[in-house]
Amino acid sequence: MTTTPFVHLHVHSDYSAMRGVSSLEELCAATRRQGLQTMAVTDTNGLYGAVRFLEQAKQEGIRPILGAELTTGDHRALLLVETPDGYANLCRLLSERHCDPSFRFIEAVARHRSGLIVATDDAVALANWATEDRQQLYVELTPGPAMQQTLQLSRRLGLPPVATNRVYFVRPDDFPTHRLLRAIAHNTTFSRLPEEACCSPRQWLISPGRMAAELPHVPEALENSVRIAQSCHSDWQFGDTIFPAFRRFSEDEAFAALKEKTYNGAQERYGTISPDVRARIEKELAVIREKRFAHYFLIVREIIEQETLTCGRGSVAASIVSYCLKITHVDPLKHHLFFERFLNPGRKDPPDIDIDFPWDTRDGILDWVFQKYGEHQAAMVANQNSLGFRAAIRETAKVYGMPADEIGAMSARVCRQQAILTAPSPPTEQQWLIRLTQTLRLKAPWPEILGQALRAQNHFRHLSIHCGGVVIVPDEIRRYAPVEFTAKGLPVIQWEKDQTEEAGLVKIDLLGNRSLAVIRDALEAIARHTGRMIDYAGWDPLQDEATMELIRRGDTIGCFYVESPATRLLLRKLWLRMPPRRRAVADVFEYLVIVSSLVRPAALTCMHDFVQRAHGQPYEPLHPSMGPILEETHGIMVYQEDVTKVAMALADFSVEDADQLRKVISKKHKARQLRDYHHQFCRGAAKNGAAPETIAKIWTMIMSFAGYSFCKPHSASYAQVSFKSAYLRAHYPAEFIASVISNQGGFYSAFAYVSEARRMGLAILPPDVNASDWAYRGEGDRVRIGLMQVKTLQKDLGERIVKERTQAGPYRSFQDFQTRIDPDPAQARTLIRAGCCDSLAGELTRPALLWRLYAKEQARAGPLPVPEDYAESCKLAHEIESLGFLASRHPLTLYRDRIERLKPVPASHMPRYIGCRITMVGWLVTEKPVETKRGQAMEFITLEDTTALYDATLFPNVYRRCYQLLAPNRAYVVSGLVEEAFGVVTLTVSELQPLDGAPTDEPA
Amino acid sequence: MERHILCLQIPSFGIALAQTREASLRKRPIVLAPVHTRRALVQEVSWEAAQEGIHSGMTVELARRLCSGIRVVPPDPALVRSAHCELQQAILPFAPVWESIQPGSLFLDLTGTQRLFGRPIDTAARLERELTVKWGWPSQIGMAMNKLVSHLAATTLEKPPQMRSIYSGSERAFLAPLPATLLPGLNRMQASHILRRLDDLNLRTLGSIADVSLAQLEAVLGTAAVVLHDWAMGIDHSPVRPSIEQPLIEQSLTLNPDDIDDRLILGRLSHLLERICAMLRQQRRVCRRLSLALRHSDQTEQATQQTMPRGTYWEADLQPVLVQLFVRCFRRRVRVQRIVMRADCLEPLAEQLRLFDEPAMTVQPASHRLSLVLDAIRAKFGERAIAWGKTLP
Repeated sequence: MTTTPFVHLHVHSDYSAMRGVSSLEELCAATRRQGLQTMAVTDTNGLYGAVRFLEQAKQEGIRPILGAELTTGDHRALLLVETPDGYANLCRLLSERHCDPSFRFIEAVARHRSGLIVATDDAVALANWATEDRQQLYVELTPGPAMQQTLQLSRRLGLPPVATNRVYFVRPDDFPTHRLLRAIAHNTTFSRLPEEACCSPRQWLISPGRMAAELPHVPEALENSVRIAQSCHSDWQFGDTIFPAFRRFSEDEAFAALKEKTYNGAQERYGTISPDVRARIEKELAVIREKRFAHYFLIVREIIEQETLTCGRGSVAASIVSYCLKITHVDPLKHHLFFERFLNPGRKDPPDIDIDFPWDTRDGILDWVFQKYGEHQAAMVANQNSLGFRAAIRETAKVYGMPADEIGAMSARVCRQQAILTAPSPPTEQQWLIRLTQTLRLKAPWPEILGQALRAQNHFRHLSIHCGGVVIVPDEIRRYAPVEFTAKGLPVIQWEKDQTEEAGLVKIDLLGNRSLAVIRDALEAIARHTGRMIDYAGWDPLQDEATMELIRRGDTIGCFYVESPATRLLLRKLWLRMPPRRRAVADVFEYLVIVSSLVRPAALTCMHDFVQRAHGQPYEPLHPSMGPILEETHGIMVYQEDVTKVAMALADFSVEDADQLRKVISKKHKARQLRDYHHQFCRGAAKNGAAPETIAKIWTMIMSFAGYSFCKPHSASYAQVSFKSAYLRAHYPAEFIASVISNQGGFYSAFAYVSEARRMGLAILPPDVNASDWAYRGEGDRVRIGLMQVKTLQKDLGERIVKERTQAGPYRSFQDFQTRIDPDPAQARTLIRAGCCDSLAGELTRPALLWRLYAKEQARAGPLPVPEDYAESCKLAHEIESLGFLASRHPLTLYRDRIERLKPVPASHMPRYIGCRITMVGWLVTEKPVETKRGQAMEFITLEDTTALYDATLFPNVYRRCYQLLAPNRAYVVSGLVEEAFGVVTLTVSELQPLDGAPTDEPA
Repeated sequence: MERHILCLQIPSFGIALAQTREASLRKRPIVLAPVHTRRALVQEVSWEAAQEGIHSGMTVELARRLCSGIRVVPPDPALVRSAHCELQQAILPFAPVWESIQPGSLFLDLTGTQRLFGRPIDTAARLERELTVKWGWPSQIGMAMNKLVSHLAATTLEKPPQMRSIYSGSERAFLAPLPATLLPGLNRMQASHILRRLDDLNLRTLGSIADVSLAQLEAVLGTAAVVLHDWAMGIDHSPVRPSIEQPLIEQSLTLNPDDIDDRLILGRLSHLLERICAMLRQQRRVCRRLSLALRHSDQTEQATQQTMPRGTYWEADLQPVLVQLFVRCFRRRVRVQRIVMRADCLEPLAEQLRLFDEPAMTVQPASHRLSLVLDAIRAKFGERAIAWGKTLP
């Protein structure tokens, strides 16, 4: 225990962007080792790691003081939080610093000084503040060349000094890392790094004794540090949920309004309200009332009212209240979704509600939210971007002036070895570096670069914006967290989602979803073409036979969430060979819910077992207690709540602990908590008679949920959107596929969807100024390519063309088109080359149209020639250039001669050749590179010929040979073995060559 | 008099030089491209690489996809420059007037040399043989009445060494099937709109351009139509313009290992500057322009130059210029491998000599005197006898 009175009040952690070197863990541990009980963390212009600091300090038994160093170009000051009001003032000050371009440092601090302790060596600022209030104002005295001058300032102004060391790192040998971070931040090299950009090498976490030795003549400065520390607030109660307020309603008013809206909604959803429905509603309302969640529901309901098509996703879909409020559209009673997954009386952290909106209206919804609540009450949640290992190598190497290709090659080689560092028993940094230098035969300066990069990794770099998280508070957002502005002009708090949640702020995720726009556009087109109006919220296609059959066939290209090759294969494997007895009772929707959760990287190995068991193969659960809880998913852990259920059943976890375990496995900063849960799990499972190897196996399954996984309500909510998409595909294929392509961004390219449309029996019509809309238009058995597909054509011109045609009739000639639209010559050229003006050309060829266009541009009159039309190959090249793909014919038809000589097996005939080696041709549609268990690269590819799509696998030995030949939109000859599993055939490739370079003398 | 213009091209000159220096590069697919990024564009391709479908302007990444065994050679402008000088020396005995097109390509005007050297076609054959045998540079030679046609005659040859002569009067027939893209300058950015327009109008060959009346062509191409129409007809009156070489002093240094430290590199540059200044003083010349070229570790080169209002040979005058050049030139965060400094625009020292043997009225500045003293010490005790601390490695 130290006897020197001193507390470090000015300490930067690695949350001081590209300045602070040491992590909060290191700082807290070092403080503890020095025998100190108190420490302040004062990051530059922010509280980026405040919540994490409180948690870390609690673990180390340190009394935490919150603060920040506020800096601008001219001034700086250390601000420490003395009272909770001071915290709010600090947040306000930091927010102003980031958001107000005319931020005036001295005036702003003077305005918000209440509850804060201010220390600085800034003479101008001190003189200003001292004239108003001398309380809690200190002169910051730091050992160094300027110390004597600062001490004189303190005596001249009569303000007490306080000793700090403006710490940026724990140990003196961390200084090079600080310089490196500064050089990275300045985009420069060490020799060009300005001296003033770095701190002094002595600014480390020196011991109180050494601090006293540095300031023997001002003992009061040290004592003042202790006095300040004692007066600062440290009993932080972050975590009390801060609910938004709905229209200034009281709790009772909000609850009454929610209850009324819920029962009205229930009437609409169910017709008559059954006792079961009533009981569930009452149960949920009781919890909502107890947890004071009514405001939150009402606000979300108000937001979704701004858009007709929404989809509540995540655990909220388990709530009947959400269902009645039309936040979600899945009936939780019918699909056995448990409300406890969303909200339970024991749950301490606030659950969030995630809502999907059509992608093109999401920004409008965000604007509405900010208009309604203002920047005063609402802000986006941030992402805190840090320097990853690869980026650290790259940035460090740049500071050392290494050329880009060498950096790329080296970082690829090193990253493969980095896994050693994250192994259960990793070597020390030094050992790793020595081993790496020997293995990779590194030459100078690479060992030094890698050593530095290792120390620079994981440093906070900058904020970015979370994809959709919004926080709304009842009063002023800047009271709770500092706010910054993004480049898009949206306010964003300084915390990422985990710290936001731990600080008690309730997040609403407002996300964009393309498929909702697809459904919306398709429904509009159907109403326009057929007069049939479908109400999205009340529409229930789950029992539609054609839709169910389509899903069973895996014919789901374009359908939300279930269109990837992996999902379509799984659907086909599941249904094609399912025994009729089981098929008759199996619910397509329930299986779709499982399938959409099962297709994730960590669950790939379970798929085979799942299909076999779904077909009736008997199985033994890993432990008898798991049998009943995983019965629905045939003994396989599919949903996130399976983790909770298994932990409770097998290891006697309480509901709260089990739910916490589910949450902790996917969090970054919870390694210690997860370790504790692991021990608890092993103990509990062993007590219940599970063998150690079974426990290890189940724990591995639990940990596989750390990455990409879903809860059942989420999957059910999404499966319903999938079902609705499938319904549209089954009954209105033209409208559906046109909407899919028009909304872009699906799993496949526009070309693949056009090919699929052709296979669906639809005729593809070229773009035409006299027939096309801006978007694709599907009607009956035809799909007309929209003007949007013409590359470089401006949207406003495209829409003007359509509007003029709709209002004043079709264009009669090219001249008429030019007169009425007067397009920019470059845009007119684009239209002509894309063939959009062919219907106006009459006797003229495309070059002749262009000749007239250019002559008009040059204002030349006189007879003009009619040159020959472009050659057919040239027209096809123009088509590809203009549309991005060949729409008039399948690109494989261009290789007809070559294909005829090869005599390949058509994709539609593949099932006839099971077990045979065959040769096929195909146009590459999608690629899915994966790694084997041994870390070898391989790839699943999907190709198509003119008859069908087919899936092929390139195992590592073939992939190694052929990977450089693979490129999208290219034709290939593939040879290999046709294999069958559960009635689904795939090709295991042994040879792959581009069709244009393949020898043609070998028959199939 | 009938003109005899010869166009001599050594295709992919940079690659030809690399293959001459390194035997392992011969007869295999090679591309010349910067190696600092995979997105770099191919500048030159060997004949073998061209057979694999690789062409200049393609990204190196794509080239590697098309031909996995391809070797990428970084450009070496200094080597190309000196080799081009050697090429000019090699053709000196054959032509009184020549014009450089680009490194490895020249126009030779053989008009009126028949009685001296024999028929121009024989001269061309001798030249081609000498370049192939003596220098190891396979060349393509085109002969015609004017620069344009001889250039196209050489360009359209398939594989060196080859020759083609276009007789007077047959120009239009030769040009008619050739694609318009072969016209010199049409592939440049500034002329890309003309090429695009010709493509739009389906005027893809020189014959199709020649077939259109000038008035109709002017209606869509404006003033450019006149030159284009003439070229399509094989008409080009431009003369062969000889280039004029200027004397210069060049000093260079290779850093080992490559370095990025400003102070160290500037120190080395100061040392080079001292050497250049000493040579200038020795030659009693002043320079009016200083150039600096830095070659980075990734083989890319940055060059810059500055012209001064007055000529000088003093380090004190040139040092600030050098620092400015260094700041302008060294902008990339990549280590430097080689530095080249050049002093040119050399002029004889304009010095007012004293008429009578009388003491100088003005005292030279200290820096000038110091330079002279250093020159004297080095002359007596060797170059390494004395040095500035900053110039030491």
